[in-house]
Amino acid sequence: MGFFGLEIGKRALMTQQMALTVTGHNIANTNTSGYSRQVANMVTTTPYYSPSLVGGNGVGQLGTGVEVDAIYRARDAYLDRQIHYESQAGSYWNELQTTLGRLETIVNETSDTGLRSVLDQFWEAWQDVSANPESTAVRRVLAERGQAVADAFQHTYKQLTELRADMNANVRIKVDEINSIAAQIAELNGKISMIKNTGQQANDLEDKRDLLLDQLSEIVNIEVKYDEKGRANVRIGNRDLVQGKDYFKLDTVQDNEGMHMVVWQDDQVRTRIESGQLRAYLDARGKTNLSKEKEPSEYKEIIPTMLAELETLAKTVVMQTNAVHNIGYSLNNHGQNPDGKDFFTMPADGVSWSKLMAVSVNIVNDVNNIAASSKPTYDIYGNKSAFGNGTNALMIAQLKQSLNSDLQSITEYIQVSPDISFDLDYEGIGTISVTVNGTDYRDAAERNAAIKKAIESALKAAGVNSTFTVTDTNGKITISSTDNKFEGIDNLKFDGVAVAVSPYAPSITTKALPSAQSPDITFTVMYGEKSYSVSIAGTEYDTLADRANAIKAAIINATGNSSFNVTYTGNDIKIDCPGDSAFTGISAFTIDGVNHGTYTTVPVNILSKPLRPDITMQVIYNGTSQSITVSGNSYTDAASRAAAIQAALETATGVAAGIITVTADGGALVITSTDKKFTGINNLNVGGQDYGSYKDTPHVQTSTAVPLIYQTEIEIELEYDGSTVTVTIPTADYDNADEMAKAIQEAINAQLGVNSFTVTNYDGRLIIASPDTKFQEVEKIIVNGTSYEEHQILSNATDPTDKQVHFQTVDDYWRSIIAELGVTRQDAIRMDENQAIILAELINNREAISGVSIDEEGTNIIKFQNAYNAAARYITTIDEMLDTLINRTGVVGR
Amino acid sequence: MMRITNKMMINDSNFNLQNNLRRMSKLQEQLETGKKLNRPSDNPADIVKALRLRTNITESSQYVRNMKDGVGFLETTDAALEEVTQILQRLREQVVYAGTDSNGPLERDAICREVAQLRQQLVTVANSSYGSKFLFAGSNVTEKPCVEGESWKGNADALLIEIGVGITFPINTDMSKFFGSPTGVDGGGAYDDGIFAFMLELEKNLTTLDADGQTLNADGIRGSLDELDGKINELLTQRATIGAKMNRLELQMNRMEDLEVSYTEMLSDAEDADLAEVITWLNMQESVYKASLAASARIIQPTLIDFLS
Repeated sequence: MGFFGLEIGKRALMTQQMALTVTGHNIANTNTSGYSRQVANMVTTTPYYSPSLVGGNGVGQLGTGVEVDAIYRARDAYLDRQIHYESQAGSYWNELQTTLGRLETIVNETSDTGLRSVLDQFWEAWQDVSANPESTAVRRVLAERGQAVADAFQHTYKQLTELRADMNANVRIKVDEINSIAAQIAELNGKISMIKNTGQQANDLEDKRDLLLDQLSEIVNIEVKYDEKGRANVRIGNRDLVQGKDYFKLDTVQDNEGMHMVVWQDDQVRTRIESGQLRAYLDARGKTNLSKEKEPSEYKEIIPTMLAELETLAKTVVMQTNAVHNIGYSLNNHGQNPDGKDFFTMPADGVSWSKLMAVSVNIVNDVNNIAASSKPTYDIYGNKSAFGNGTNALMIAQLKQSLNSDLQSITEYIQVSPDISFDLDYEGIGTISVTVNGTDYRDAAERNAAIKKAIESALKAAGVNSTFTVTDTNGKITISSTDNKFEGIDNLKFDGVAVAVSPYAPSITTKALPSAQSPDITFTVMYGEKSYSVSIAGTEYDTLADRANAIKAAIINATGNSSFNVTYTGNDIKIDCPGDSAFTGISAFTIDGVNHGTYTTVPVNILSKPLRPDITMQVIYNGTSQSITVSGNSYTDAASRAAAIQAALETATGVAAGIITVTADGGALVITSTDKKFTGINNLNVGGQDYGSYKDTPHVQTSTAVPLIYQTEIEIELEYDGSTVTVTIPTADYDNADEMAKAIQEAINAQLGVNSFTVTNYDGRLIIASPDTKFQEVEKIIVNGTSYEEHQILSNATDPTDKQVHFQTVDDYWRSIIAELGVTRQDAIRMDENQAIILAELINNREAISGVSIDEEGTNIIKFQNAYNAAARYITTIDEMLDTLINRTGVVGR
Repeated sequence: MMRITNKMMINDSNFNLQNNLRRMSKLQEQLETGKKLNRPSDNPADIVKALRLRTNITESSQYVRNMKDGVGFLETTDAALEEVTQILQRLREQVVYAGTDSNGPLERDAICREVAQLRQQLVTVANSSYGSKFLFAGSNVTEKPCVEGESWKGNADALLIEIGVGITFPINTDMSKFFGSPTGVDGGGAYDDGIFAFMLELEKNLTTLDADGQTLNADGIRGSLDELDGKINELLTQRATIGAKMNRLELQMNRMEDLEVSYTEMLSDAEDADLAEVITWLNMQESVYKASLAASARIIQPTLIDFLS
């Protein structure tokens, strides 16, 4: 068996050496990624049947040694499949959570520079403007805050679109990677099948291919099947990516925004991407605009959703602010109509709310264009009237709290004041028409001023400068003037409806006339040597006869001589003492302090005046003047004096009794007439003293009570449940706008048969609101024929599809966006961590099978070295045996 | 039985070290920012709460600011009306003095000059301002409401401030009826019942003499005392109202400030890190990290190769 034994030894040496080489290969590739431990599989070589010299049934087959029949890799295909599956999910979640993390950075909450904080400051600035609308500095702050909001929206929008563009670029990069990996796998498939065809193992090539498959499974969902030739066939979503040594390229088609859709290059059919990094990018980026995409989108649409939500928020802020801003008045508005200007510019393209958001240029250039006031800031005469009105700004500030739940329409300031017209009579001009527009006044004080101004300017146009007074008490309007030529008004009409005016009654009041009391009389009686002072109080007599008797009694009383006799002829007083020459006369005869002198002729004849002063005057009646005299003897007191004058006036003018009445008001005379022809008296004279001339002034005319909102007819056109409903509120009077609002509310609810509409007056504006979703908008409000069309009516939340925030505040909306983002990322992080653990476990499992253990290899080195040593020793033994045989035998006898 | 390879141990060590590091970095971030909420995903529920609270805090401090402004406005108004009260008291003395007939036309003329002086002073007070606003001008705050020889330029509008969600509060006092026009004649040309009309009438009565050189309407002077007392009462009522308004504002302001404090506390609860807790956790995490480092160092070092000669 000699040389045969050597052969076994040689085989053993070679086999152990080969095993050592494999061990060396393993150790060398300890850290090679994708490397699988290789094992040299030793088998015994084919046994040799050796013919026996001794017998047919000898030792039988003889072993011929050892050989390595294969070097195989320690690999578990089942684990590979699992790893492919889990790494698709793992890399998907990892990529998704990273992207969501970038979104979190973009929204930048809870920092003080996030959108929430900027919006808070914006609403605050409106509050400040509402408190100090006259301050340019505060307005400037608001303009800046508004711009900050616009910037924040623009910035966020830009960052989101940039992130989306990044994701889109990644899609293209990953498609290229897939193509590159597919090409390599196909090539490896070719090589491997060639080697396998020869019955050999292609361990290292297979390791390479497995590594590529691992990489591919991170990018996209793949399914791997091996055919009998050891070729890996890779499928993505039921289509072949690699088939044997062929592969099918992926490609992308771009939409109008440059967004890539992944398709198969050969037939341009959309690739079904279900997992892996690529899916994460698609989920974040969203679908393209191409028609091949599924509707609704199969992707999560993370960034597009965020963008859409941002747009909704921006649109709501812009639209709501603008709508209220439109119906306000700025400091530069000298007129009586709202500015009708936007605070934020409306996007030129009508859709890019965030991207094009900006405070309008005219506000940036002049902050006085901010419409903070709910009322005209200048009055109808062009004077500043309400620079401190910040109600509109407050209304905008309160939008912050607006739930946007009620569908509501806010009108601009509704003009409900009626037009006024009347005819004015003025001496020398005749009748002129005066009109006051309802738009010229908003409250009673302004109405008075407007009427006054209208009268005065109408007269001025006719060449007369005159001053009028207009007042009102409990709705009654009184027009008066100190101008004598004003002769009253007629045909007073409110919005064409006649309003009664009190009759025109000329009236004059004179100065206080002297008392009608009869005068005191004092004198001295010269009787003999003696003089007797006599005095008669005015209260002691009323008539000429009384006076004579009183004087007589007083003289007799003073002198004790009863033969004195006092008589009167007309006004003259005659004092006599028949038969007594001692009576020589009267001295210092004084009536009411007026000394009539001394009379020494007996009988004394005193040429006296009437008991009371005569009254003369000229009455002006029907344009002509007639003199009247009322005798001082014809009255005894103020009342009878008035009656006497009245009688004299009636006689002179020839009017019937009761037309002209004269009454006493203390000492003064009040002469009134229901006859317009009486216009006054001239040269009123009492006892020679001039008491002036009087015309019927002031002229006063008073209307019956007229409410501020008078005979107003309102018609409202509502868009309700898809059709236009016209609600007519019958003609009525309202004391104020609140009452009117209530009437409108009742009318709308009654007509629609609902109970949900509320109509309120907000400083002259009507807010028509309802949570009823059938209520779409208020199309038109017609007040007394004046139509307020859509552009003057702010309709918010009228259309659920209008992409504005509904049923919550903008703050709530933003918070919900943040919460949603937070929850999504939290989920993604958790999934990512879970996947990482599972994957680590699986990779460890694979390592357990395929990994190189240095200890094991060390053991193997020793093992193979020992075997090699033993084989070498065996060869030496055989060698020695042969040496013995060859060299030591046959030397016997040498 | 599972085969354990060197790479597995290295992988495990790496994986665990990474986990430890991640936890440490989280704790460190909390320590550095002082907040446990640094991004929405940290705790979405708490972040919503924190955002709402921040908004609430901004809001209430705005309301407090509005109210402080309002209280200032009311205080200034009260001070101005105090001055008006003093002027009217002085005026009342003059009216009483002028009423006695022992004062002839000469004395009354002197009183008239005094009244005219008081009227001037009243014009100044009627034009008192708070910041850039004239107190009694209604919403026409930029225009002096009271200019001699012209009609009253103010209006009756309320100046509203918001003192709570949806709660508005008028801070100004409508004194247009009380003052009336400085000319005594309103926009419609009618005589009004204002204090200026009253004083102008009084001045006329004090100086108009009859034919005898005596005061024509001494009764009118005496009779005006009642009207003046009415005016003084009206003024006192207004001042009482202002006092009540100030009380209400201060009450609401205190409430709002309390709210602000509790909002701030709640915000701190929601988003501030408990430093003691974070530091404890960080220390614990550090020792775990050190232990795992030490263990890794030991596991990785020896192999059989080290023992082969």
